[in-house]
Amino acid sequence: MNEELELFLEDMNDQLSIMENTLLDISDISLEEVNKDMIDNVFRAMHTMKGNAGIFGYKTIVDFAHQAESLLDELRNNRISLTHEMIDLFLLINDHSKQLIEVTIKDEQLNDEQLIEHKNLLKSLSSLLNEEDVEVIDNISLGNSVRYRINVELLEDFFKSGMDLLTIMKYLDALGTVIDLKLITDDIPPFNELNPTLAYVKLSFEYETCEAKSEIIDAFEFVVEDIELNIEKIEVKKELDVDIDNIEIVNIKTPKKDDFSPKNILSNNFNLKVDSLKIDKLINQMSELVIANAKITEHAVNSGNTDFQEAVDDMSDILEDVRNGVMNIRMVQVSDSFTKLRRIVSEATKNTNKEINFEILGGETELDKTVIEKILDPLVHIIRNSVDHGIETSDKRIKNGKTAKGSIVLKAYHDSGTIVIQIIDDGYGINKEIVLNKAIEKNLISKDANLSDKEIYDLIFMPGFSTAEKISDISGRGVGMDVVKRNIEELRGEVHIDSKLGFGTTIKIRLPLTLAIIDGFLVESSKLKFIIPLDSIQECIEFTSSDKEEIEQKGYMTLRSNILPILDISKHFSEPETEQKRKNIVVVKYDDYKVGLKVDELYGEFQTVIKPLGTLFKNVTDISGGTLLGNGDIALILDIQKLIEHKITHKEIENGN
Amino acid sequence: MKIIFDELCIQEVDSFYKILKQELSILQGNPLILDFSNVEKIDMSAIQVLISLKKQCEISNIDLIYLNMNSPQVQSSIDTFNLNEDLGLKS
Repeated sequence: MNEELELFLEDMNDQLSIMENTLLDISDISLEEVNKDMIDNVFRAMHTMKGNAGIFGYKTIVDFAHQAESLLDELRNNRISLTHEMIDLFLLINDHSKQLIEVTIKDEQLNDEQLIEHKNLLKSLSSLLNEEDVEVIDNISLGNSVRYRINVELLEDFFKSGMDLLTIMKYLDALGTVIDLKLITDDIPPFNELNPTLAYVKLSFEYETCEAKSEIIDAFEFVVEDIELNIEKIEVKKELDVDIDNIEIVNIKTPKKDDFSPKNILSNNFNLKVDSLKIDKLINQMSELVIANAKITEHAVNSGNTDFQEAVDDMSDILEDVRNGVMNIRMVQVSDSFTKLRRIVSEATKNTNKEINFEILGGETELDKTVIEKILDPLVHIIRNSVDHGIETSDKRIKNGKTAKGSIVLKAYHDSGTIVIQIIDDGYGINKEIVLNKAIEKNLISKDANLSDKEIYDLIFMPGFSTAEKISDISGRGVGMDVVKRNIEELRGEVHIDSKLGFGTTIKIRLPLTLAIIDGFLVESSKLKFIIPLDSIQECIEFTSSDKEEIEQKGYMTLRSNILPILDISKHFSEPETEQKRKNIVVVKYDDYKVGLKVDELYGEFQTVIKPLGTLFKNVTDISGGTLLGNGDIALILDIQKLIEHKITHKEIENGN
Repeated sequence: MKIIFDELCIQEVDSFYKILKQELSILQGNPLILDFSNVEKIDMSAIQVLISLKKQCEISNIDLIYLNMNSPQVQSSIDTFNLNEDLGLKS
């Protein structure tokens, strides 16, 4: 697929997502609460899709979008009233548009089933437009074509608009028929006097279309300030030998009826679409720059030249800002992708006769786009499970003293340099006995296994595990939760379940914010350099002789009346302990746990480019990667999550001496 | 002369024009042959240059020959704007 088509597809998907999201908002409230902005949103998305498709000459999409847009136009002008059937129809239109776009860009045809759906949807739209005796027929002139004479004079700076005339002509071609086009080239100067960046030509043609005149003007809306446009309705179809100099030129501006024309939207809220490969390349180059900067910093420190050091410090600060800016390009709000999940709940609710209120909290939370794309499928699976197995039917809920309407909350927030996504339902909860029995029945565990609650819930992530009494269309066939866990772990994330029988279940996913560069804290232990992710550090404290005594006696130290388990990094990695007068404790936090890491030296903040360590280190679970220091040495990046988890589950917190 | 650009649009048109101007000055009675095999896309700014070039060649009695104008987008521009006559192409 070429770059232009990729951008087209991306923009169409954005518009479909806006439309779907708004329709779901509308379906969540009563018809009386639906406001004009919501209808305008849907109209705008459909209008933009039509325009985009027109530019590429995709007539089927243009025609389909046009019909839907006409009905939306009636709604936003209060000529007809919104009904629940219409909301369902627009959701179906949204789905069908996705198929239509997919088929069209592949240059394929709709299959029989899709074709029937296409016709049925158009029929429904026409019927809704006609049933209400809408006065739109004159406007859209269904079936009655009108012929226009169109003259376009390009103003000198036309090319600066960035628009290509061919694109506009393709759009017009999708809406009607261009007849007898003449390119008037008389004003082009002799070759030696030509300024190639200025426009000199005019166009004159007849145009037959069923569309309203405003639609023709819309085709020129991006260049309206760079042309003189004259459109005249002509009654008789005949060849006209037009002398453009004798035509009175009227500069027609796009009517202001659409304050939200794509051009206006662009000028208010400018978005630039960039190939993600270009951003990846930029991030890679940024990584190299960070490493190069570390080398320069090392030289500056060794030189003893304070001016040089200051200059390097300034450069490092700027580099950090630039780095954050570059990394932010990849960060997108999770809410856009979560729309798909709303739809799933909405559809599943209809299929199961359950009433469910689905709420997204923290939708503005940002995450790397790559991570979002990869997490979406696991989330779909979890949400489907919640709808199918988690939430009870209204009857059962009322019987159990709950509200008739169940609740699923999708919550996203940042915590300790990670993003946490929770799926919380107030349904049945998980019956540990059933899970245990099922696991025993499937020979996943022995009969006498003594498991903690967490270990019991983790059984659900084992391959092939399912407690569903019957297979449903929604949650599948009991395969998938193992895949869910694997996908999350591939993103260096983790997933846990917590549940209370009768009250509901919470599934908690924790993911790294980014996969490329982090703010780290450089430390040394047994002559080895380590990086601790800065976001996980709570504080650094000196390791005193009284701390040493306490740890030797109790196995932990007391920090402001709280117990702090200590992990000696040199012991943990089986390195010989060095004779160091002063030792330090770095207090790190992950989830609800805190641990003190005992190290020799603290060097401070360090911009860390995460590099994979290769197969040699594949069994070292507590190291998440490596990074290159300014002097060429390698520092290992501690995986705080794994380090704490491993130590706590194995109850191996060292005595820290 | 093989055109080096894969797109002949507003971004390239100034360089394209200068190259043509230089080419015209060293022809010494030979035909001007433009090979479009690299060119995937052409916009109206470049079309204007070609139309002006064609007129200049007529005045100067220089044969202007186009080769490999095969790209679908270039063909689409020629067809949409009925450029066969303006550019001196065989229709």
